[in-house]
Amino acid sequence: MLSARHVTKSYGEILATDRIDLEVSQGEVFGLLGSNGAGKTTLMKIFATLLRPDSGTALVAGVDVTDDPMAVRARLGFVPESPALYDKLTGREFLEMIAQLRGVPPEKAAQGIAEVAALLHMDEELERECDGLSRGMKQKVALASAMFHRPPVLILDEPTNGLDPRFAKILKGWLRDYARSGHTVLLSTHVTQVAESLCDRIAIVHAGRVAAEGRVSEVVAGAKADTLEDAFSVIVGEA
Amino acid sequence: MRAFALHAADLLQATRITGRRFRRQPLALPWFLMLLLGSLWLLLKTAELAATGTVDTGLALSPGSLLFSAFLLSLGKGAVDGYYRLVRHPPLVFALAQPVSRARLLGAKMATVFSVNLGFLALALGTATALLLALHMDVPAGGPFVPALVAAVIGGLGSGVAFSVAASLSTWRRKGAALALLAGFPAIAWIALIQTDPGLTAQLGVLALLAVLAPAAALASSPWLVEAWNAQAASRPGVVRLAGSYRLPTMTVAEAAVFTKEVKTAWRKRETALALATLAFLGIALVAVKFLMGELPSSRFARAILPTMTLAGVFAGAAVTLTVRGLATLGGEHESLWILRTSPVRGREVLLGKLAAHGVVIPAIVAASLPLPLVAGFPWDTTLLVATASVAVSFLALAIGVYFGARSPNFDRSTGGLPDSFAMYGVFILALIACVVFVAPAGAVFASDRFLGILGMVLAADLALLVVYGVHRVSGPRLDALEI
Repeated sequence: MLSARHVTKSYGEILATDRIDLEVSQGEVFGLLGSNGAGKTTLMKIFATLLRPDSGTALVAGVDVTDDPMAVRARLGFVPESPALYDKLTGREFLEMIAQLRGVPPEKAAQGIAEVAALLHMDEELERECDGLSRGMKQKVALASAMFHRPPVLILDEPTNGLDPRFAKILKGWLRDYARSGHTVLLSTHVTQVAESLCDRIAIVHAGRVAAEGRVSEVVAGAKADTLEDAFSVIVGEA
Repeated sequence: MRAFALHAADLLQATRITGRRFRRQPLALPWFLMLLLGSLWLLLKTAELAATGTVDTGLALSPGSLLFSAFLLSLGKGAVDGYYRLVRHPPLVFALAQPVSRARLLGAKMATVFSVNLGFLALALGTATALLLALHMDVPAGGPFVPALVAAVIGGLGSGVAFSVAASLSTWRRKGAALALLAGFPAIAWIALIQTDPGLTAQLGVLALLAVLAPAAALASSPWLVEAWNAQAASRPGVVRLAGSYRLPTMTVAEAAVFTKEVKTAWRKRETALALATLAFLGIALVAVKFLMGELPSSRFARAILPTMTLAGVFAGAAVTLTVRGLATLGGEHESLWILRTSPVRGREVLLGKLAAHGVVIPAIVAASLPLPLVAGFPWDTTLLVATASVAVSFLALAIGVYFGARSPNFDRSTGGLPDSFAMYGVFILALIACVVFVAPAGAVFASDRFLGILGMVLAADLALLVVYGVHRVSGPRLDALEI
């Protein structure tokens, strides 16, 4: 469902991703782990059509992100690491705008928004301007904007940022079920527990390259470590 | 010393932003210098014509009126700079959390406002001196005029910074009280420079006093800085106004979504209210200036003065409402641009929604052009000509702002999505030139054939709308190509 082949991207002299190869299958929750500046966000932004690769190919549901970015965007929901919203719109107005931009029929949009609002317990807050929302609530609105239209692919950069443990747990459960129903989730995280409890497979990205990839147990075993946290330190230290 | 670190950081950032712009666009510097030379020449030539009486323009230019204009312009610039660099500057939270007194903090920010603007004034004065010497122009700007000008600019900037804090307080009552206190500064300038006109030396004395008192008043407003900052920059629960969604005929659903978002945002941020207030003020100011000018001579030049003045006012209104918003069309999205860039909507659809939303104020601009013709008793055909020209000017001001805003957007939240001062100056002058080029030919035809002149102005407005369309076609793909 998601495929990167030799994807390279640099910012001036800084090489953000260096010939990355990655395959994420349909129905899978795939996690990207890495230190700050490892290249995770760059890779996700390439899949989300916010950046163009310097070389290599990135495909979303079989569509090349460079050749047909509009078709790619129609197939995905994206939440960046620090999602800035439109301050002066209410949460509901923001979600309705996203529905209109994506061509979601009003009835279907209303139903999707109601479901996500119930899931994330944010009915009342949806009527307030985003300007006045807490960080966690803004994160919920951003997540809702990617979730309510049920796209085939979800790309979430640090999705549990700002969420309290209760809602982080609810979100993880929802994402797992979402993947089981045939959708694909690519997420990045700094929190190894999130990767352990949620991801079917992970890749540890270091210095713009995939340093290790596989099921959590495989990555831990490959690094001859006891926990994913230790494995991460070993792999990043060795790479 | 601690506050100086803040000022130094501001200057370092401003220098880097300007330097990066000049490196990216090597022609920007020569272009800016050319515009500076051209506009200064025009200003000096007008002053020379008015002072020497070579042509009976009916313009009553005195050193006092020039100094008052400089004071008012500086007040406006100081208020805008103070607003964006200080009271509506979210990163100020990091400075507010440091063990530095509010007065020092405000002083450091005011020093940045002074440095940037006085640096520009020094450049303009140096260039003007070179022009005067090279072209042997006869402008009565000797003696205490230049020191008085510098004092007027300092006084204006200081007043502007104080106004920015006062106008940002949390309640209308507090705003009103603070602004009423500060109104003394422009009032003193008005009395000394226009009403009594006691001579340049005495005016220099008054302006020197203002140059001390106004910055002191800005510093004295520091106890209210946090209140103003909280009211303007910090997150706060908002009261929802202007509900529903809007759609103009022929708009797609996606275009309507962007249009609705822009209209609601502009309304709730009070940008629309501010624009309407500015335009209303402009309409009234034009009438006031007409009365101050008294009876005009009957020369051909003098007959053209009032319509030209009306259009100059219209341009100023269009520049501060449409060009400025156009410049921030993409940059104003700041970090929120991911929303549009990850939605399956083309740049041209986004641009159309934004252009339509910006254009909401155009009827108000046309309305602002009417009070002076009505009060001054313009013939109906001249009034129609001026109104049609206002439409053309509005379209051009919008098109030029959007074009440059999409060409090199600035996503820095602290500037409100606007480019640096050099770029803004260049865009305004270019917009002015474009407006003259579009409007002047029809105006000249009108002098000899009124019907044909009006038809020509309608054609100018049509062509200006075509420019808007062209900008929409060119700028949309730029949004699609943006990497963020």
